[in-house]
Amino acid sequence: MRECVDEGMLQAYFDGELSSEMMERVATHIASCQQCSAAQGEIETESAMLTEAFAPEFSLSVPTGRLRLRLDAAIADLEAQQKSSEQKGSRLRSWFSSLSAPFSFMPQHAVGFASLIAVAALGMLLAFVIMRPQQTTTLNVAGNAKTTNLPSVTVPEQKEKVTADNPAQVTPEIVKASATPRRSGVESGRPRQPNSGKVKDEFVPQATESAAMASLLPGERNYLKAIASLDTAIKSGGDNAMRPTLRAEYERNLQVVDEAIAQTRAVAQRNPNDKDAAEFLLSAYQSKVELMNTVAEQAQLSSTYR
Amino acid sequence: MSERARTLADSVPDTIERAATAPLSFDEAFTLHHRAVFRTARAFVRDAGLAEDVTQEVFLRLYRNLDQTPGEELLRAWLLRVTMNVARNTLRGQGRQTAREDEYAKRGERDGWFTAAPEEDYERRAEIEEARRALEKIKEPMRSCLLLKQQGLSYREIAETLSLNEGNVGSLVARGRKEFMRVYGKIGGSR
Repeated sequence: MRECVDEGMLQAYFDGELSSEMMERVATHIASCQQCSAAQGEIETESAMLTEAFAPEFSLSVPTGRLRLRLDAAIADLEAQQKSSEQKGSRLRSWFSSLSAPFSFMPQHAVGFASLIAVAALGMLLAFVIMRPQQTTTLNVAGNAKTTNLPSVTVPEQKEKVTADNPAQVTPEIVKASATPRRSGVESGRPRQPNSGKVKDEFVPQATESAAMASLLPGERNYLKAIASLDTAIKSGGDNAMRPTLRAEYERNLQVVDEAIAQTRAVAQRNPNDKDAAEFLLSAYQSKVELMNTVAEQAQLSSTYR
Repeated sequence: MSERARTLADSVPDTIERAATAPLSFDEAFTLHHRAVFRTARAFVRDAGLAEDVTQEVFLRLYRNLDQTPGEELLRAWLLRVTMNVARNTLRGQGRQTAREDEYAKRGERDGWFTAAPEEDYERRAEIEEARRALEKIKEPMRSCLLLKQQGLSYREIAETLSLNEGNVGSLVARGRKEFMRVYGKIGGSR
């Protein structure tokens, strides 16, 4: 090697990082080159000083035991976290599997599915039966009223009431309630409470009719009479006129409507000048009439085909 | 030579090579390298307490990734590269080095970590501080090359640790050494 060695190679030579062949060549050159020999000497001196300068730093004790303790504690924490996350993961997996379990069509689930489907189908059928004849219900109410001569009986009394309270209030409300019937929770399900005499109770008996009529709100009388006639029509078909499930659903819905009527009636009586309260009451009556009319129609149909 | 003997002979170098690069267990790795990790961390963060935090984090990362770390040959380089990264991140969020260093020194004295006499301890602290200040003045990657060289790392390990070309390490060490001596002389080191 004739050319001088650069500082990087000299440093590598000093640090013993060259291949054996290069080590030999550099050593040969240094032996023959005064400049490189001086540079090599400088490296030796400075490296010794460097080692000396860093010696205090590296002679500082290393807290091996303390580090090990800290590390062991940290690893224990880490493993505890991993275990808890694995447990959470398994809980999540079991939750998902419990969710998916009902959808695995096993024989023991068949009965449950069948009953669920039957209930849903029955609900849909009832909803269809109740909601279908809305238009004809209004007409039937009118028709029923005609057959029981309601208008001819009630018109004079109603006129008296109208003139006494509020002449413009009653008749438009009835028309409005008939045109836009409110459901008032007719379709909503409630726990079944056998109460076959509920309708009868709702209609005021003849003996106390005059006293009860005195407390009736304007327009209420017509609905009560219509309800009484519908009730008679339904009961005339006998217990076999309706399927038991339909009867149960009818009674449940009737009870809901009756409760709605009782509540709205109480409010309307407490606030006689509140038009909205009276309108709600009449709307509830209208719902009851619709329900009973639908059921009466169904009972009539079934008795015809029997 | 029979076929079986030839097969055995061919397999010997591979076995040796695998043994050389076989992964260490976690305990072996800690026993062998925790000093280098702690010292490198302490040189970077200039705070023994923080250096402990850094060392713990480095070995936790080793614990988590033990099956992905290199074999024995380059494990120290891997550990020190992680050490430098963690130390830099630690320094970014750390503005109270001196206070913590004092606290650590007091705690060390109280717990008997350092056994030097008070005056000796003071002198040594001054020397350490001068060397650290001089080292701080050196630009990267010369500074890290010099530090790792003083820790006893080979050029290959230094290149691996700092992601450098191995052929450049000698030159960087040489320049770092010269720069260190120049600054160290100015500061007043080697009095």
